[in-house]
Amino acid sequence: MDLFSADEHDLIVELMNLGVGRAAHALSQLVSDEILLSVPRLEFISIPEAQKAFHNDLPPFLAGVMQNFEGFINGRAALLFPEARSLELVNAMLGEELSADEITELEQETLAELGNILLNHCLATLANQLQQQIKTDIPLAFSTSADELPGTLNLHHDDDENTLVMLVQIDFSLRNSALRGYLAFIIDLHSADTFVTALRSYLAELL
Amino acid sequence: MQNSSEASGFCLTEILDNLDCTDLLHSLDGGVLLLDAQCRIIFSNRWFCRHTGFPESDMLGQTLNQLFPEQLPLPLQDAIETACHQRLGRILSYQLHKRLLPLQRRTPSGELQPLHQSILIKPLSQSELTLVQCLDSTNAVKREQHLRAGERILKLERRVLELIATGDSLDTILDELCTTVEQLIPSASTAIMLLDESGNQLRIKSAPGLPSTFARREDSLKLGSAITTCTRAVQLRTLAVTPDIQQDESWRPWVESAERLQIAACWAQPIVATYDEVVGVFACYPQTTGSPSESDRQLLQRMAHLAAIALERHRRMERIRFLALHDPLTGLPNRSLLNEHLGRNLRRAHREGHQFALMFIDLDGFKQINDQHGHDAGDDLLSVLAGRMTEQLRGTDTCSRIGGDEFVVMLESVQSPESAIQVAEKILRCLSTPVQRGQLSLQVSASIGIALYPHDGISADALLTCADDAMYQAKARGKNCWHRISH
Repeated sequence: MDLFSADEHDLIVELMNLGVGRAAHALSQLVSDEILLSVPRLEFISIPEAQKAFHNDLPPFLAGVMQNFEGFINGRAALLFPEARSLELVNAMLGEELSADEITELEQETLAELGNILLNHCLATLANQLQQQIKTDIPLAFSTSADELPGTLNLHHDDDENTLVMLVQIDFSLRNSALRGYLAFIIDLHSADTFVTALRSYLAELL
Repeated sequence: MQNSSEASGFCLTEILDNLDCTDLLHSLDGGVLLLDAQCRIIFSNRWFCRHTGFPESDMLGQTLNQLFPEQLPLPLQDAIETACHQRLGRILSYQLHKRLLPLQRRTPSGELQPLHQSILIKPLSQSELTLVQCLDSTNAVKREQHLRAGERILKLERRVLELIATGDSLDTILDELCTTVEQLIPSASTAIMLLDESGNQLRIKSAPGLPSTFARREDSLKLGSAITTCTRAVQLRTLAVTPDIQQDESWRPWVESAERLQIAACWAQPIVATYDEVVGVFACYPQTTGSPSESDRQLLQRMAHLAAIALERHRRMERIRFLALHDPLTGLPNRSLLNEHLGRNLRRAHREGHQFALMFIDLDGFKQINDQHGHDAGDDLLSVLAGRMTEQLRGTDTCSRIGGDEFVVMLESVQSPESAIQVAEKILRCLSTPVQRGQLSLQVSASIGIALYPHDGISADALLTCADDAMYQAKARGKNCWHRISH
């Protein structure tokens, strides 16, 4: 999608890296151990493309955390993991050696907080750096299949034209565990104008 | 006329419109606070008042920080401020924040205990207010702890069962069981004690976490003489608990050494094998006084059960080994075990340069006894004679039955041919002494062939052949005598 220029795209990547870095710092403090996060890839895609990407790139069963946001951009953000490994991630965060067969309600909450910290830092960094406002709702942890993901994220075909997906790969590394997840930001294009304007004025100031 | 769904739809809307939201929030089983943009409480539901002990009037207008000065953890303060000022929604999960608000709850028995919680902080749309929701996770935490503990036990149990299945040594398995319990009941030492053959004395079999001095003290655990926690467990066949050994008369003689080892209490679970036979005790020595919790009890029971399985298996293996290497009639070693002992003794004699003797013994007139008096009489005679022969030998010698009325005796070491001959003569005498069986007096004699290592052979085969040949010559010389082939 060519909504953003190359410079604007690079700026977004940089801001996401900054946000993810701050989230890693916050998480590391929380669990008193080093958590490393990095963003190897970021792309803007349409809903049909996103559905294809979900289908091709994601494992059949997913665990995730979803959070609505509104402000200079509106939409919904989600952190997605292979379901089988979400528990491993929670256990690594808690420093637990044993892994249960099934995720319990307490572990759901822990996963929700992990996603919450990550998504908040990404969105807040984006907003703060661009001198914009953003408000986030409370997070919701969920499990779903890759096929049902578009429904879970409330992606509707009739809104295709008005919705943009920012898909971000994210690599976690903590306590001998390493895993890859995805951040999906489903952005209402009605708000994209403010986004582009904000990016442009930020870039203009840099020059 | 309206249909029913329209009617109920209408009613529902009306009901919802007229619903008193405040009432609803007060009746919730969870905390709800409304904060303004300066983090001040502008509403608190009854749940919060109940669990903080503050009346609503004391809470209004205060921030949580003012309400609980220096008691709020930083992440909570930070999350509240971020939500109120920057409008970011937050969740604070129990697992990542074991301590959030200093709330308490009453247990069914009326005791106050800390309330485990998670907190949701939601900036409300279309207003500057922030909703703080506090969820009581105490029961979920209990369930989770239970689940985790169960998983740990299962995992450790599986490891012990694997050890049992792969036939690891009994010592390894019992040590593993002790270590397992020490992992699951932290700051406790453990020991496995087994009843000796008389069934009167407990002896330490495994205590990997305790010093050997302790093992010696338990050596004096005679049943009947002194009643201790462990002997009580054996006698009552149930878990025996001494919550505080300082207060227990029976522990008086060992109080000092217990203090040195930081042992404060003793819980003893009997190890019960098949046929309800108590074979030992699984003892747990916590460093703090008190009785075991329900989960501790279950753990001790399960581990004692595993110990029983391991012991049972060990016994069976020993039994199988015994049966494989002994003659069922006389209980003497069979040819396999003789070969094993002979091989070992050959290597030793070779290494240490000493002599030893092999005697091939064949009974004279045994067939007639069998023919005249039946096989039962013959069998009885063999058993008695086997016992008599064993009595003539040292514990390190071997007397084996290798055929119907054929025996081989190995004297582990001899000073000279003469000492072997002396033993042979004693055997001849004891074998020819009549055996009384009811009214019947049964008498046989024996022919013995002697072979000496290294003079008459240096291999097992050579020695056995030489002794066998010598035995035939003894027979030829008129029986009831010994013979050694001169080279």
